[in-house]
Amino acid sequence: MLTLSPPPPAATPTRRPVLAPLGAEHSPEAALSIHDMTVAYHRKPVLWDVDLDVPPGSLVGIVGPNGAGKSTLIKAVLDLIPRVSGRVLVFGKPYRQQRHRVAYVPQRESVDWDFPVSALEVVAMGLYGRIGWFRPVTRRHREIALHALERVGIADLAHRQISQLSGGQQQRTFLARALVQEADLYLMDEPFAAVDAATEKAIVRLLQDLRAAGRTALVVHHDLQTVAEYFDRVVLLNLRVVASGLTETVFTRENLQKTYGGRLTLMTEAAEALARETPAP
Amino acid sequence: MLRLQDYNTRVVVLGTTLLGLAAGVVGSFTLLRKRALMGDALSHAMLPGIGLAFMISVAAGGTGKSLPVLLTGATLSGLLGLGTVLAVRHFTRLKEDTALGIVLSVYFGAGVAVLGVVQRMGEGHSAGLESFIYGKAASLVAADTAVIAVASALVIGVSALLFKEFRLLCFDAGYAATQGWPVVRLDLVMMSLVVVVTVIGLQAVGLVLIIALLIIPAAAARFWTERLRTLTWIAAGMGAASCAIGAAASALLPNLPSGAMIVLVSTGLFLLSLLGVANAARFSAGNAGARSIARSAGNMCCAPCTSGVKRRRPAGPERRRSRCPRCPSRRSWLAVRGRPASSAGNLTAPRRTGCSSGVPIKPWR
Repeated sequence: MLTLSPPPPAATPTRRPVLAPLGAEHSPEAALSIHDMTVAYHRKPVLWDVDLDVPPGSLVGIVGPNGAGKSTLIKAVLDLIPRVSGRVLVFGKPYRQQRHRVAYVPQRESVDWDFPVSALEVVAMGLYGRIGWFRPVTRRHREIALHALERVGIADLAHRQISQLSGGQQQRTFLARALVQEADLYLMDEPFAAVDAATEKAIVRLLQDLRAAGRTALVVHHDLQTVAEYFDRVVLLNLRVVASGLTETVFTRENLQKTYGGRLTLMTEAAEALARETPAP
Repeated sequence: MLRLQDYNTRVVVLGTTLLGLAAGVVGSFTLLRKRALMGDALSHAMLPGIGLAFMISVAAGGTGKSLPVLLTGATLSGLLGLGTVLAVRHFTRLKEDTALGIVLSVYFGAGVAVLGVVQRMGEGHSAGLESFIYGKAASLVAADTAVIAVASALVIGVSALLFKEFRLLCFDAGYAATQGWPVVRLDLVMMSLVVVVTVIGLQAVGLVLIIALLIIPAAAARFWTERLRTLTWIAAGMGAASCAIGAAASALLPNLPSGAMIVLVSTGLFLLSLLGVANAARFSAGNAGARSIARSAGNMCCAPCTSGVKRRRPAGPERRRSRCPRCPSRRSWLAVRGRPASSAGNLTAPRRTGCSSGVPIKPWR
């Protein structure tokens, strides 16, 4: 039996996402549907009973305090971390059958940027799955990769070794690598973390392009001030899903308070963000 | 006294050179996968296997000197040691370095004890077993060299075939897993290559020092290039060169163990790389810095080439120090071959485009 610290008072065990009423069937056409997923690290649960439906063509922000399990959620969906229980369906089928439709953008710190490869070679890695066993990367693949680097605006740095890129440029390289996969569902882990303003704008534009093309993106995000601006839907996470649904209905002061508890500074920040949102049309 | 022209010396040098080639290739990947020390635990764990294989072989009525039997014993106990590392890491809270330290010392200690027992068995044939610890390249015969050649070809062939897969695995294993690559099995293949290299290196280099061949050439090669493919080639070349020189020196001069000589030569190459590249690194870092300053200032002396054509590194010292023709800087400039993306194909000759200085443009004088 798992030993647990008591759950946060706001999130009672029976709580379900706001827009997915209790007992509702998961819609088969959802880009991603997570059913009762629980994840634990060394017997310590880090995600409890996550129940989530992501409709296709939406930009979803995952928001929550540090240690809320935002990255874990994405990694568990991708089978990088074993799930204790629960089911994950991608476009109605198990993830293993749908890998080619999912692209992952890991946290920037997850790799060694001193590795001897160029930005172009990193982007080409997104094509390895399609290239298949034993076959080398050809000129055609490099052209596809270069095109993706153009889309994120750093084609001129294609041949730089990756440690000679700035943080924002490294993040763009990772995004380009996901782009060449031509996936339908993008899972991004903190793509906006520590990037310059230009990169942030470029990423937002990219997300909007993806949505316009009918793709779906699930993005771990830490900046409460920009949530309403960037995302159609939001998932408020703190070990459990505190609330999820359309941003305008879910991203409320009350829900944020439940998610972040008594962290005053964050609350002030959020309040400011909301105050700025209210007069907007 | 041996001479380089002797058939035996040639066999020895050829065998160790092929070994160095394979070790350099595999070492590049394990170094980048941050598994370099796994090879060390593996090779040290081989010692008890050698002793036990000898005892079993003697008990079965053989002389105990059959190389295939000894190497089989070595492989089995090496794999057992590797398994112990993985088990300790998986089932306890200990970290990998602790697990490696435990396995390495315990197995090696057990091996030394087993060799002690073997010596007291009084068979009198056990004297050669110590050569597996420090290596004795002079003991290689043509058949051994043939085995090394086949094994090296296998190792290099597999590495070439799985080059793309290994690159992905070493760079970002998590991402590789999301694409459906069997990360664990790829890791196993890589470790098997290390096992093969270690086994064929036991005779020539010895189990204490074989790790040097897996680490040092790859580490030295890292100074010279930013490309994995080039890195692998350079590491292979350095491994081969240090083995050839080390084995030759050991064969020609008395009382110099081959394993030690090979390690010393490869360390020499490493130091050369370190010192040689310290300059080059300073040079290129200066360039990168200056270029970014220039770009942010918006008045770049000359735009960096965006054509995707490979930048040619300056060839000689006079190039590095020459004056930029378009600005008053005394700093270095780079020669770029090919045409910039903007201008359509009217340029065939090499063009100078990349000034490294951040100095604002001055008109031609």
